[in-house]
Amino acid sequence: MYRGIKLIDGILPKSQVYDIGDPHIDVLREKLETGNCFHCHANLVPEQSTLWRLGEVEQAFCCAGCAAAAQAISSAGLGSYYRQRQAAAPRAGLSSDQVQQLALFDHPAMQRRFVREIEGDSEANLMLEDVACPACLWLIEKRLGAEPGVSNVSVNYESERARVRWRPTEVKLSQVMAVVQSLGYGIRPFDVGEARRRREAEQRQLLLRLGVAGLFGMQSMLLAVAVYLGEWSGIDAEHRVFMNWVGGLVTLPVFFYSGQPFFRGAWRALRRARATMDVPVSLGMCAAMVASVISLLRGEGAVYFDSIAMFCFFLLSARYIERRLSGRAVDVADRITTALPVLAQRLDEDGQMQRVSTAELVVGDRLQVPAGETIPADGLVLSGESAVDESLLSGESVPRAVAPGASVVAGSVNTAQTLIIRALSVGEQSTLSQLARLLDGASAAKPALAEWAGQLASYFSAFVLLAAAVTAGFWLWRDAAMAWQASIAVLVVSCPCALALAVPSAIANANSALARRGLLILQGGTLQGLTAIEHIVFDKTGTLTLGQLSVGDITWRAHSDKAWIASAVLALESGSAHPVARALWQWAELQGEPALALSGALQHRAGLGVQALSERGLLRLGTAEYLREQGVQLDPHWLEAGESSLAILACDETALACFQLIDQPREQAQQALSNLSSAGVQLHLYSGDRLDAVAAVAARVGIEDWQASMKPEQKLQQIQALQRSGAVMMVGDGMNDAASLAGASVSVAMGTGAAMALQNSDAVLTTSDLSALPRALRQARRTRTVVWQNIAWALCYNALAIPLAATGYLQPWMAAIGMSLSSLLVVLNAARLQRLPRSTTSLHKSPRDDAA
Amino acid sequence: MDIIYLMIPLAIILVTIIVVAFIWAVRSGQFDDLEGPANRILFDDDELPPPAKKSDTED
Repeated sequence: MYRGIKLIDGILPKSQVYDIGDPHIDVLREKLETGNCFHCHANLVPEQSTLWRLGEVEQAFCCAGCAAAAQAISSAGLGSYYRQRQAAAPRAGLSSDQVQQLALFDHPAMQRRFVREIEGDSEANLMLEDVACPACLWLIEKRLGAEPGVSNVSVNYESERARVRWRPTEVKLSQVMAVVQSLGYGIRPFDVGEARRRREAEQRQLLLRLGVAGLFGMQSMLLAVAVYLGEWSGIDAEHRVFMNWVGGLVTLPVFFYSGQPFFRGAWRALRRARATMDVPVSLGMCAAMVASVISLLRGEGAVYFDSIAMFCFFLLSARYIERRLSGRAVDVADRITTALPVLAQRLDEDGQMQRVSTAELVVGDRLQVPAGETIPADGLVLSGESAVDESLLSGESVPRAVAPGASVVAGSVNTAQTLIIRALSVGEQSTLSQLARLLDGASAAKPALAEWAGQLASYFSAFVLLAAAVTAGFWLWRDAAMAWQASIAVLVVSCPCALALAVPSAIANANSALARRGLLILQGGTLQGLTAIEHIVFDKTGTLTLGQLSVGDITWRAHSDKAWIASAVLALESGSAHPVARALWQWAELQGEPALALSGALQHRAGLGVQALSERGLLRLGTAEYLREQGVQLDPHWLEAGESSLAILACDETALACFQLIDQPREQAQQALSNLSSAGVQLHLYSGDRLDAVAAVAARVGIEDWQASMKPEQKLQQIQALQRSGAVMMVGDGMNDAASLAGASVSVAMGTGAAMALQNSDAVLTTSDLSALPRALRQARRTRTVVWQNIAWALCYNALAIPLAATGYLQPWMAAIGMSLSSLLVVLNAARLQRLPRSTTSLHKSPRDDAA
Repeated sequence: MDIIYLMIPLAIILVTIIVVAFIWAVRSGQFDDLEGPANRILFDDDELPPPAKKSDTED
């Protein structure tokens, strides 16, 4: 009997176990044992049924599929469906052609979770199922693109997702989805949690198939070798027949279980009259199986059981490795979207806290974020002072101080004290989701090269089928005994997989390696673009510099007491979060003096300065404008550096010291830039800042061509001028760089930069370390090499192997090894890109290394 | 050579047992994370380093 009953809560993704003592358990047990599935009305099978909580009531389901469907319906507020429906829903796990269920996805409440509006169009991420190869995706892409009302389709092979944009006035989402189902593929709206679960399950099944093929395949090979050796040294006919029979027996699970994905893929392709690489693979395996069984029954002739098993094993291992590698790239995107918490604490008008699903949040909600929890939505701090860790978005490990009025970003972690925030953008609209979507869009918008290779593979499959037929025809006419063997060899040896995998595997690996080291590639063609870069244009503030102020030169009044000034500054500014104040008190603290005891309270003037009484008189610290307004005499020499970057301390009417505030260059900027120029790239610095500030930074990091006081449109013109002499990469961070970023051939935005800059860029730098740039250039060049190596290999191999097989020189087992090794070689060659070349900068110790 | 009529079926039974064990291992999730266990073994379970050792390194 039940030890307890496991209940899965529909909202909380936690399971709860009721113990036998609980009085409620009898009700639950009755539901489980006597009831029907809440969703599809099927009779419940005790081992498979589960209890899920929908709203306040527990319901029993026949399978997880029905439970998930019911949860999706009820959490979108459509629970009345169950009261109003006229017939039971189709069993969710099995329904693939049920249009009535798809219609649920047209409901606005349901769509709010995964559909976004763009310029009047709707856009959704859809998850594709049962996809076996690039040709399948090509098919889906083509079919969807031809659907009236669909304006844009792009399919990602790695994540097996389609990004579809459609005009809601002309077509419904359910119709779009029905189109894909009619092709024989499964489709559902994308949700990260579900995608991850599905990928894991698929990966497990693939591993099972691979293991079965390997273990039984080894037995089959063992027996085959014995028979081959026997032919040479003599073997009893009785023993040979016995070994062949056992070999056939152990090949059965390989053929029927491990080979299933190929047969299914081929069947789907044939029904649609398309050639994918599963077709020659399946034909080859089936033909070899039939020929072997005939030989076995007749008691004479060759058997190919070992070839079948090995073929299957190598193909599956190529596919397994490829899935594992692409999984890593997908993980990067997933990691960003799963950073959002599932639950949020919402405060209603009376200040009562309610726990709600993050998906239910709307703009304007007041949310409570306790210390240590993740912020569920972009918003404005209403009350509370704390520090937020935004390392996920910016790579910056130091938490940022926030106070009422500051904005916070979804996915960052509240580190110190409880904050109350007002939600400004939620869910799909949040900065985090937008970033993830950009990333997703990048891998989906395939570079032209990948598309070309995918089409090549699909034509190639058709060619192979033709070649096999011609071979069979030829040998039937010449020597019928050879017909089987030669045409099987042709089917087996040809390797469209290597061709199809050549480009996507290289790009996926290169991108995921770069992403791990701080450069997220957002647009598909970026790696290709990087190989041609001749000029790099930098912005100054926030790009070459950290965008954080610190105290530079100090001008003192003659005979002033420097220690006393330091302690006065410390007393006036201590703890303030304003960037100028922060720079000042950080400097003062370094002087090692205790804070001065003030005799009056601090009086702040926002954005101007602060004043307080001390023993020696009235202290004022602030901008030149503020001090002049207060009647302080200022020495004109002090103001030469430009008033905007100065802070002045005065006692009564006498100015004591003048602090120049400078923006620090990024760590390792100089090293990274010298690496870039030694790679043959010309560097430029175009800034909107003052002449002296730009000159100082340019000299410090070693850029010879620099221009200051530039307006955004001047920057763009300058970039377009450079563009005529060679491809330009623009690196910037601000709103003012957005146009230049869009205008350059390749653009890189700083992860800490403005959203506008992120939108217009091809890649985002997520660390503060500029050495990711020379690394990216090297990686792009390596990727190009690997891609051409792969394509050249695949073409040469096939050009050599197919004629050999057709003329009967290749035994089917040799063909099986050759073909599988060819695929493996391409995938492993691409995997080399996962390892980044050791750069000179990595020899220097980075702060992160110290922390580790 | 008639021993093969014993040995080969034995081998097949053995490999079947191995396949069953493998299926169990995969189903119970032992292959889901191949990198985690390799790294996890390098981390200490102890939350705090032994205080004695700390003073040694500071000296």
